[in-house]
Amino acid sequence: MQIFYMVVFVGGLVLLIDFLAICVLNNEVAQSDGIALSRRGWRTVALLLAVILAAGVLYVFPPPDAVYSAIGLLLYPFVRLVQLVGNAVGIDSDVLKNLGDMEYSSWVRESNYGWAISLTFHAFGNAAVVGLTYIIGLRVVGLFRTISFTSLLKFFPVIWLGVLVQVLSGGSLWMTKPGRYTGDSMFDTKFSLVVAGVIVTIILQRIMSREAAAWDANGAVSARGKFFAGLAVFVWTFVLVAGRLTAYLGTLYMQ
Amino acid sequence: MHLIPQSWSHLHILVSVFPSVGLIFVLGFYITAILAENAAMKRICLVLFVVLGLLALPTYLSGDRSMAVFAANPEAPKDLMNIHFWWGLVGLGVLVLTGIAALYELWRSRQSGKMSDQALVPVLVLALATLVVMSVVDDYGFEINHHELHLGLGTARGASAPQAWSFVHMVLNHFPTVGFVVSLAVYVSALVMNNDLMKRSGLVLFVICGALIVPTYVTGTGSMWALTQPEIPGISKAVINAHRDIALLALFGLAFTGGTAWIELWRSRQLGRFSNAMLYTVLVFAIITLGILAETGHRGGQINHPEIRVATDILPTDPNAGWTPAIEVLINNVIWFVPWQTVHFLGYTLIFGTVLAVFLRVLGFWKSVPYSAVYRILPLGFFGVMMNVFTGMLMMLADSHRYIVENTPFAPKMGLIPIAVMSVLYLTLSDSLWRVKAGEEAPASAKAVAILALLAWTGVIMGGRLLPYL
Repeated sequence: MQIFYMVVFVGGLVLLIDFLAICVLNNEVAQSDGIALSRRGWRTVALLLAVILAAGVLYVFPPPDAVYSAIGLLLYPFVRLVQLVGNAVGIDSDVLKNLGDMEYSSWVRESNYGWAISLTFHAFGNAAVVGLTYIIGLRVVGLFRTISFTSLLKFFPVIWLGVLVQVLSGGSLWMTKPGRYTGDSMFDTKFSLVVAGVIVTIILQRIMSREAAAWDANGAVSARGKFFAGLAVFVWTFVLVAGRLTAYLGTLYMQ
Repeated sequence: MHLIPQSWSHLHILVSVFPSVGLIFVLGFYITAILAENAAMKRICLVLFVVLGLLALPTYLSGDRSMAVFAANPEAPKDLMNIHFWWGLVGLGVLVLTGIAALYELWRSRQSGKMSDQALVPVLVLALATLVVMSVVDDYGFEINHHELHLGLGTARGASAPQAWSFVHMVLNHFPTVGFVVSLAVYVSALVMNNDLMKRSGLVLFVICGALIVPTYVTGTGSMWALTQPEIPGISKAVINAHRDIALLALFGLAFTGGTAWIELWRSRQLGRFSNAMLYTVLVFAIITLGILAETGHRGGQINHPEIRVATDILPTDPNAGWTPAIEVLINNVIWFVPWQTVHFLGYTLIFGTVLAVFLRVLGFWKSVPYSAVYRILPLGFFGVMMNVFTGMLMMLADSHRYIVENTPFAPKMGLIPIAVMSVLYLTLSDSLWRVKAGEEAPASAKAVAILALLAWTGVIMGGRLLPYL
């Protein structure tokens, strides 16, 4: 887990610097506040600083294993739910094995290109979702004021296309060793975050569909709009981080 | 720093690349000036042609004296030196004619009070002719000292990397260095003359140099493997490492200069004016970077040019000394590698998201916003690029042989980066695109560039993602 704390510390620091720089540039060209940040901007900075600080403290003073076990328990209801649904529709270890033995799974696993192509599509799906969600998030924070909230609704079909690409390519990767993936803690974490990301994005889209015109008219975003936009940025960022860490933590690649 | 040459050979190596590589940058400026019909810019280009014409004299003299010194060496390739000399005479002759034509036009325009297009074209034709001849001259010149060129472009002698890396690096490294000197000259002139178009051109050239340094650095690392495994007599890994140490600083110096220049281009477009504070910040970065580049060039020259070494030069002998090998060891540790790799992934999502948003607007899928509004998003992608240049180079250092030599997609990835940056430069600078209002179609040329930008960045990201597999 030391790697995770270091990733959050370094990544958070870089994103904080980027955020401050973009705020300064945006405010200057908007000729509004000089280089002053808005209240929402300061809150974002404070949140990022808190995450960076927490990661730094946890890196230096790692918590006892019992804490990780307790965090693991948080995932348990979700993992249990997946197991129950799986059992209800008849997916057991034999089905997983058969999925892994399919010709397509073998091609992805063993051919020269199957794995690489799936991984590349997965990267682009992720990039589209995270990149466009960041733009929405920054707009909600108060940047890019000349872009209307209603116009941002056009991003959602592209975001869903990105999610679809992620699911299809991720499914292809999962089918190479479904049994091992399903029991891996990092994969379970990432999968949980993807489901959370999808739910949060659905809620954000519904909120924006209903309220974006009012936000444009009033020049103010509702509290739940801010919350879910921020949450979408947070969750999709950690989907990316968890995806990367799947290769280094857990049991899938590095022993 | 080694800015003052201490021998004829040293002077020749220093000045001889200006008539070819420097000429390319001046020609670029000159063509822009003619197309933009900017008199001040045309005038400064003509002055630069005259300066290049004057450089023919030290180039000839230093070459002639170096030949005399070199000829004393029984192993000197005399035939090659003769061919280089005679082609050089022709090239420098045409260069002098270009300088004279430029000087005549400067004098004539001063008399008549305006520039004549008919008089400007002969200068252009002569400059192009000089460029063609000087390319041949440089090729023969490189072969005199660079024995690795005689090994062919492949992996002769069982080299662990093709010599093509050395060849490409030798040509490419002069572009961000010589180009930077020309850019700085134009930029300083622009500040003195207070000419906005020239300021913009200078800033654009800094961005281009910043984009070119990435493939230059990577080809340099590739050539290190080609030259050191197996060892080539006379080429020291320790000297190469000393060059790599300072080259990494040059990379970041050029990235900062180019990055600051881009920010000012982006900023000034929206405010309709340049900020003196930003312009002088770029200048300070550029001057510091020039010093680093001079030292980088000098240390690079020491690898293959024993004739430029002087008594006071203490060459390193330990192939593991320096901080580039130390960074390699550090980044190879998983606790450092994974965070930088994750930041690299975050960087490409910022780039791809930004390019996707611009693509959607320019192609007409997001027409409800004016382009000037989408323009505000560009820094998001810019910071993604800066993140990835920094993290990408650190990751590459962790296992450079595997990345550069063994993995097929790395070379196309590096080749696509300057193309991708140029396309973003167009999206930053285009006047016709800037004027596109909400509901309006973007010009066809902008659509083509937006497609190119998306394809180029897709290629860059794909090249990176496929690295471990192809």
